[in-house]
Amino acid sequence: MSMLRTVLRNLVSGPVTLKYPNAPANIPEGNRGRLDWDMEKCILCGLCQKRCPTLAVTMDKNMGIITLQVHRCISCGVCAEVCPKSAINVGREYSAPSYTKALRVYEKDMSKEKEKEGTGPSDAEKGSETQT
Amino acid sequence: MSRSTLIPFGPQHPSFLEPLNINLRLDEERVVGAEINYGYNHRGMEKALAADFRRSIYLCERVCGICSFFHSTVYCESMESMFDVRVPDHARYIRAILMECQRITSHSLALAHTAEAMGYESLFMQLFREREPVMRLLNDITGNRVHFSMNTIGGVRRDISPEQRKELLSTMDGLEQRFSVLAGVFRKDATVKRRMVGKGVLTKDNARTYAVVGPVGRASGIAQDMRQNNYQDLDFRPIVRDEGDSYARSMVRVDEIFQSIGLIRTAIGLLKEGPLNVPAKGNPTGETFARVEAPRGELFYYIKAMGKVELDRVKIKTPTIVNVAALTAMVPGCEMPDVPVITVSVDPCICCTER
Repeated sequence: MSMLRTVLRNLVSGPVTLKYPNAPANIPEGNRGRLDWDMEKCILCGLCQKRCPTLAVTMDKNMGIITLQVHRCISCGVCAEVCPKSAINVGREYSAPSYTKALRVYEKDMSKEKEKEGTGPSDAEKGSETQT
Repeated sequence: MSRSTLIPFGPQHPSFLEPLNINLRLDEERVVGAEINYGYNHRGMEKALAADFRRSIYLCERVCGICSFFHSTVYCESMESMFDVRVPDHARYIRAILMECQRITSHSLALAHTAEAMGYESLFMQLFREREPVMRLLNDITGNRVHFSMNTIGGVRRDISPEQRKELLSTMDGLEQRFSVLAGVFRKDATVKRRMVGKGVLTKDNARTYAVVGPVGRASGIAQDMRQNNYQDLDFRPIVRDEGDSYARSMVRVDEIFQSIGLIRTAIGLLKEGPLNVPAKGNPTGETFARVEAPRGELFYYIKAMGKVELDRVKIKTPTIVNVAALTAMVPGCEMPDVPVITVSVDPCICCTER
């Protein structure tokens, strides 16, 4: 009898499957998804690279470039947790599907940094570089 | 004089989700012997886990997709005993709530899979439908749907907000009501009983010989559950049955889902505001082990560290390695078409076992 009720309910209810990514996905509020670096805030300390469990983050401190290998990222949010400047924003959306191994590159405007700090990266940044 | 036939069952078989090979020896349709072969899914994860003790918290979840939180909890518990830190009570209860939620999803998957092995497709789909709200809620609470990344050495990383606690309670109320209808199918349905009652019996003596754990052991009358030690303040008593057949194993799981719902309610009542984790500084030294009750039985981690970021040894003992071995005592005497149902009623998890 309970099975009959289910059958009738299924007859009138629509499909549950969403046509994601063509239609918006129904993502839960607390979902950890896409990562984004705010390069204005970033001080290139390298902690996100050092603590990333899947080695998805690579940082070139001299050029001021952070590269995220999108398919290696497991959305654990450790980078955002350890970031001393809260420069990493964890969004809700899933990473978009792609045919290639996608890379996402964030670039810091290094000309401003050089004007501010004389030539090259500061001593503190050099110290953390040797650790990683 | 009868001749026996050797039938290889698996590693690729429609009723198995994962590769497992059972070589059955048949006398006509009756099974007279079975030999079990593992090793189709080895990934070398124990070695990979030893690379970096902090990164391993997230890697050890990937050992298994159904009991991921249990793996990270037992790993963190063993590291906590090595660092000699005490997890705050608040974090302990959050861990208990999430473990019981994942036990509900795991047991409903096991029951659904048993229904599918019997050919009862509609029951399979309905159990998966009931599983979905819990999965979605876990995604909301922890941030990820399967691999939660919720644990850290010394506690948990996220709190359960008051709104989420309310939602958790209302989801549990709805689940209990709807699941009792589906449990009624397992309790009363003649087809289910005909396929499972008296099939694949594991006697108490055999259960002791094969040292089975979890629902398989409890269905054979062995009242052993790691939660007796871990949940001392939640008033926990293991569910035990004496029959030892496929039906008893499934019914232990059905009853444990309701028990888990009760435990979640108690644990939410005990949640008090407090710190989520305590920091563990430095590198680990020494050797330690921890045990928790995963959905399939006792899960055991042994870790040896030498004061470096790299660990010396991580050894995992999963429940399936003993439970599947007991199949050699369960299947003789039954008929060939019963073997898938008996195997699935043990709920083997090969990716845990071969990691």
